[in-house]
Amino acid sequence: MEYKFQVNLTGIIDLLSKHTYSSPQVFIRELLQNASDAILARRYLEPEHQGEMLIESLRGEDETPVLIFRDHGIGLNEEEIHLFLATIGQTSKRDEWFVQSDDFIGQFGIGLLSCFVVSDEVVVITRSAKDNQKTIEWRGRADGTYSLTVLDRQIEPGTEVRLRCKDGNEEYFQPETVQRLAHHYGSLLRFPIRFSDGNETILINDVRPPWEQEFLDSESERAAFMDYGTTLFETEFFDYVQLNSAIGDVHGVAFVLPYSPSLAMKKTHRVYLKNMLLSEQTEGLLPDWAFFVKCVVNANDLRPTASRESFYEDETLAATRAALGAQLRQYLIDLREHSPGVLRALIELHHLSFKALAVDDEEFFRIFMKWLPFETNMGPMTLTEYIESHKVVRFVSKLDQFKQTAAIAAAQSLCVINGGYTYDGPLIEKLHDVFPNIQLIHVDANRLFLGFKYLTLAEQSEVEKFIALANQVLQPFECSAEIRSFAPAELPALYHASPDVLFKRSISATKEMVTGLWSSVLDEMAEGIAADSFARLCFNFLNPVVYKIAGISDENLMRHSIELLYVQAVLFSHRPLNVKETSLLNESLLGLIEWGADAFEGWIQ
Amino acid sequence: MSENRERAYELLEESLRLDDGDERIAVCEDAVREADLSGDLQTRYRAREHCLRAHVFGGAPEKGLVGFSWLLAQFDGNPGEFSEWGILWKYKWILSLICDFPQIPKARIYEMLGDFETRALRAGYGLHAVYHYRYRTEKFWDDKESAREYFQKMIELSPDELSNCSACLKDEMVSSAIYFNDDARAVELAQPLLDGENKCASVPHRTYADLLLPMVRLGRQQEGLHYHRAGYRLVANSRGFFDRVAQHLIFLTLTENFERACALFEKHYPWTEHNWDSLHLFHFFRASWFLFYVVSEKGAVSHVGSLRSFGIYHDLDYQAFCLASKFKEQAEDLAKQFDLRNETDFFSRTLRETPALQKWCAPFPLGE
Repeated sequence: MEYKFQVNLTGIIDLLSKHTYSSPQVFIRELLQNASDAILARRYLEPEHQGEMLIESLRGEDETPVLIFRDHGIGLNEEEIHLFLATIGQTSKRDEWFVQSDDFIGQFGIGLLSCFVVSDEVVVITRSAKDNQKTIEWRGRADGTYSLTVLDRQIEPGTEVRLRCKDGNEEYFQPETVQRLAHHYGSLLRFPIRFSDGNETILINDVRPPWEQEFLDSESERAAFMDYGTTLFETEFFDYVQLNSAIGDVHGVAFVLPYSPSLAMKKTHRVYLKNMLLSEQTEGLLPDWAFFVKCVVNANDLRPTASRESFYEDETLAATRAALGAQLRQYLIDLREHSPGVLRALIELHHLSFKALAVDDEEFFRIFMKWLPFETNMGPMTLTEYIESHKVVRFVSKLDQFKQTAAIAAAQSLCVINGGYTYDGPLIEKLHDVFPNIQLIHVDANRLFLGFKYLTLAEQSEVEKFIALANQVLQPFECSAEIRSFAPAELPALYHASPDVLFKRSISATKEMVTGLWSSVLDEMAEGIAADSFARLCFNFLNPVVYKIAGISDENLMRHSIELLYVQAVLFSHRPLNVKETSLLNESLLGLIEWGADAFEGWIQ
Repeated sequence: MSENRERAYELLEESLRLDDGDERIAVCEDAVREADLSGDLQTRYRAREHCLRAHVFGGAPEKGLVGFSWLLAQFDGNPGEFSEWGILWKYKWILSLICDFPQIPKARIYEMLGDFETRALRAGYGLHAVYHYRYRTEKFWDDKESAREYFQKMIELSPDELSNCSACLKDEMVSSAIYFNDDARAVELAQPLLDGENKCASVPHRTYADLLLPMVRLGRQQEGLHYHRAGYRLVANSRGFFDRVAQHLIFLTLTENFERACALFEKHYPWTEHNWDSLHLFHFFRASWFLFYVVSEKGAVSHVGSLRSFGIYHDLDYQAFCLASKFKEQAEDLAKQFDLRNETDFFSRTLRETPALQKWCAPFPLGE
């Protein structure tokens, strides 16, 4: 023997209002969906049936707001009413039910559930369009009890749902709110939705979206699309692209954003499913690179997930995404011929999208790479501008390396591209593969050092003592010293540290303040770094101060000078000083002051 | 200086507009430099908090460790100055990555878990999060018995504010089902996550990847292809998910989508450079080995095309079998380090059992 649980409706409604229907206004969406399903079902029987819906807002006897939703759909007979009741409580989610079956009756019940969130009593008056049926009234209460009456009067086939405002939900029963929400969810529905507040009746979905309209000329078409975007998103968009995909049966429009979106921003779109608003936050509709547009589309053949904020990742979605992506890509390519001015402005705004696509799309790369802007140590420029004045393309692949090398490279008239940004490095690295005649040089501080001139033997002997002392002074700082000739002459010394060395530096700086457990952890981490990975300090033989210091005989003075040049070079490389270096700075400064005072005294005497 | 302070905050704001990755790390590190120059402790702390997040989620966990120890020292040294919940929350990030470093001894990791437990209790939280991380740690070195014990203890407690978000907790149920050999249950548990009912910065990213091998074992490769498609997009551009990329690589090998597998391998190989996360490296080397092993066994691709900027075999053709043995060696080396520290043979065993995965290989073309 099988038994069924007695489901407590009050409990379910309570749960629903707290979770699934956390926004009570969805009852309007659900009732529109019910009406839409009912009208579609009736059209199976009567293909010519147009169907429409009327929403009435009125006041009950005690001034309680009442809403009536009336449709000319298929209606329900007595048996079907019992059926939909049976589904209440089985699942609270229409989409879940939808996945399991195409059963319209079951969905009807699920849709009604949401009404109990705003109304203690729901009255359904319905008459089936099938056969010659009687009009039935179902009166359901939130405590789970209901009554069923066969009415004497007959209504037109269809369904009428009456809701009485539950205390605390008045705002969802205000005529303006109901009108606005009905438009919000149902503006694309293909049957007329009218709204009446007792005085006048208006058509809510009076305008079809522009992609369903025909236009006389391209100007009025453009105006219609752009206006639609402005009204929908309260944004003056830059441009628009029509979207159509036979797969997924998707139609709509992508609006080009008038600002550069941040990379971390969620790329969401407004999506209708079978003409009902699914979500304004749908993700995953477009390829990842297409973050320069905001879309509004209607999809007939995509399957939403329960959250309504994305679609099931299946072949259909993948193919739809590819088709929509191809249209956006083609739009960009076509601009090149038809509106180069627009393209220029678009690249300025959305070069990140261009770059994101070009990384993985060789043909696109071939077309657009030359116009894309990059940062260099001589200001921003496009690749074309760069290549016009430089034979080889020099680039740095990390942001912090760029800072270290930019000034030195500039002093040697080398123009270097900053490849540290998300797409820039991979794009530059691809250059040679696509255009074999372009020569690439990956620049880092080490490589710049290679370009510095070695000293002659005679010069070397001049600085021998200086370098020996510098190596001795810098040993505790895990830094080696060398000397070369390089531009600019004003720069006395350059400090360079590899990533490993920098990591070691940060460990030792942090260790100065950490004890116990974490001190051991830091030690263990440091063990992983080769003991001989030293930073490099390269003195500039062309610098007059360095030259002078290298020649002085007072070893103490030479020592303090080396210490100060070291500290200065570290700071110049954008590295903070650690405790040891800060005290070195203080000691050597004091040492120099003392030396100066002594010298001054001697000079006075 | 107030100028540095302002600059630090500007940079932090800028970093929020970026995705996790190198660029965000660089901007955050800049912010830390400016903050340090400002000398203002609040700013320095705030900047390091952001930087820690960037390091942990952007694939630079070694730097995250250093940053965290700074934060913790400041937190302890300035009572009442900084959020206790904040530092404990970040402590969990560290606990979730500390095992990835075989240079950190087992005893130290237990010491850290104990420290976290003491701090959590002192702050008035329950043991849910503590047991959670104890479970994950035991699972890391495959002490099944202890892992099960802590898992049981965890699920008997109610989550509190120190527990991971509900998406992460559900994801943990999925991966524990896989760990305890119940693939079918894992797939079932994962559905709400894949439907988007709960999500966060790393779920369903991890979920999709974790399910790939179970889908193959269940003979549900076709659905697995969807998971690959949906999941790979989520992890493809973030080094923090390098280990997950490896799972996709294995899946593509098992479904004989060799061309796509090689393309993925090529795209992600540069992530091995300057990478301190030995666990991620282990997974990637293992997956690459398996790919090239299968490819050369089957004679599907004899050598691999334009592998630019490779630090390996500069002058040779990239023949599949050469690559296979190279990556096998690298994975074995890491496995030894892990097993030595872990005092188990889990990593070497995983490697030994890898070629046998080939029995699941069957063509399931991905299509467009």
